[in-house]
Formats: sequence, C-alpha cells, structure tokens
Amino acid sequence: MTDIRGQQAMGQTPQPPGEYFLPDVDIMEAPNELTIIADMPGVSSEALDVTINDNILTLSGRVTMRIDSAQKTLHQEFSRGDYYRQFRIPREFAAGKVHASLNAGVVTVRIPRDERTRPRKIEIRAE
Amino acid sequence: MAFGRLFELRHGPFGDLQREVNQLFDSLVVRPLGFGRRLLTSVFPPVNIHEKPDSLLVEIELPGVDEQSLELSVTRDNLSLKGERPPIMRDDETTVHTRERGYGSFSRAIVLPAPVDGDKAEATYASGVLSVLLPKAPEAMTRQVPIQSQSNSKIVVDQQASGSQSAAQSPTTEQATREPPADADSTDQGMGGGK
Repeated sequence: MTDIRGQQAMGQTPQPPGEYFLPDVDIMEAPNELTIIADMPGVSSEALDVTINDNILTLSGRVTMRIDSAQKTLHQEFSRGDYYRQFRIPREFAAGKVHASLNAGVVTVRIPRDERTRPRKIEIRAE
Repeated sequence: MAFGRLFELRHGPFGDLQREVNQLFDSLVVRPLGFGRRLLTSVFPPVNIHEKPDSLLVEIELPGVDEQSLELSVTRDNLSLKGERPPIMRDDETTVHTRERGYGSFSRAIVLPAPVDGDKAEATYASGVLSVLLPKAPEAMTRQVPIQSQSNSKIVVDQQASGSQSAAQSPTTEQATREPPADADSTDQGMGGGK
C-alpha cells in the first residue's frame, strides 16, 4: 500500500495527456467522508498523480509501455494507455485533508467531511 | 495501435445505465463525456496474448485482487484462472453515487495458441496486472532451417556412401543413387567422388 499524502496532493493540476482513458470509478459518500475508488491497472505509485485544486480532484496515471520488437500480439482484449479523470468535490468536504493510496492498480481517495458543514440534528422543544 | 478505439463511446449491456448515472451525478463528475473504450471485450478479466520466439506472454488485467486468492493452472495448451474481486464493504449510512467497477467471482479458461511447457511457467502480479510467461514446448519453438543447394547435397550423400563399410548402414535414399551394395568400393565411380 503506497500513500500519497497532503503535500504532493496540493500541487499543480497535471494536464491531460494527449490521449487517455477514463478509469472506472466507484464514488461513495459516508457520514464522515467521501471515497472515490478508481481502477488504474498498470500504474505504479511513481506514475500516479492525485491533486486537488480549487475543489477539482484530478487523477492522472501514466502507463509505461514496453516495446519488444521480438514480441508479436496474437490476441488483444484490452488497450494500454494513460489514465486521466477529474471530479468536482462538493464544498462540504475538506479538500485540504485528502488522503490517497494505491494498491494493486486501484486508487482510493478519501476526503473527510468538513466538520463545520456536517448536518446536525436540531432538537425541537415543546413550548 | 493501442489507441485505435480510444474515442469510441462505451456500448454494451451497461451503456445506457452508464449515461444515466453520469447525467445524475453530472455535478460530481467533471468530465463525463469523451472517455475512451479500453476494453475490447465484456469478458472479465480481459486478456492479451503475446508471442516471442521461445515463449508466450499472457497479460491479464485484474486490479485490486489478492494474488493469494487466485488459482492459476496450466496444461499443455490451456491456461485457467479462478478468483474473486470482493465487493466494497459499506454500511447502511453510506450512499453509493457511482458504481462503474465490477466485482464478484470469475473464472476463465484460455486456449493457448502454442503448446507450452507448464513446468517452467512463471507468473507475477504487479500494479493490478497478472503476467504469465509460458516457455513453449520444445517442439513448438521456432527453429531456423538451413537450406542446402541440391548439387551440394548429392556430394554429401556420396561421401557417406563411400565411408560406409556395411551395406546395412546405408539409408534408402543412398541406395537409389548407387549400385546394389554388393561391392561398396565400386560406388565412387560416376558420382564425382568424395575427395
């Protein structure tokens, strides 16, 4: 499990590569955090950038392709290429505290809910 | 080229659902359009097969599985894989906004394009990609075939004939070009000689 924490995550938003794939994602919202899980097979931790800029979350992953001239492809069911996808994070999540991890080609980004915006139950008192 | 289908829209059984989900959560997903189509099949997991002169390389995309839970086996001409991608644990208070990733158990049997030596197979799992290197069975390896010119081959046959002491050792092709093997020494005549 590789962690990509705060400092790096607050850097410059990477530009999209010329051609790219959108990774498949799951987006879940729990009372305390927003979780985004993205499949990015073939991406190692050095080749992954997770950034948040102005509430836009950007996932960017580069896939290095080894070209072997002695190798011939006989059967192909998937293509290889870089990944890029952006998400607008609602204001009630604290974009400054994003936490991202990469495990076996799956990126998990967790963004905690800003406590100040957390819904509170309001007691209604009888007069 | 790998990017040939990059800007095709996504079709298949979940195409419409995909669009609906994207419309519903347009506010959350900044760039819902223009995505590429990575997969050329609806079968999971997708497999690419490459051939080298002495081996086959099978690449299987399996992001997010525990490699200890995978069952991989190989025969002379078949590779099979079984495993499971567990669903994400979530409680009742969690709302799922988008679900594009699949999960569940899977199994695939892949017919190999050449016989392989299963004892020498090697598999590695890195960055969500399972790579299986399968050395070809000896008879399936590519071999260079030397090409001889016809006149040279006749001389070679003749040399063998003159060197053999016993008629029993002579191959049948030799017998066609020489006298009956009663007298081995006489066969040099008329064939240009070995030396």
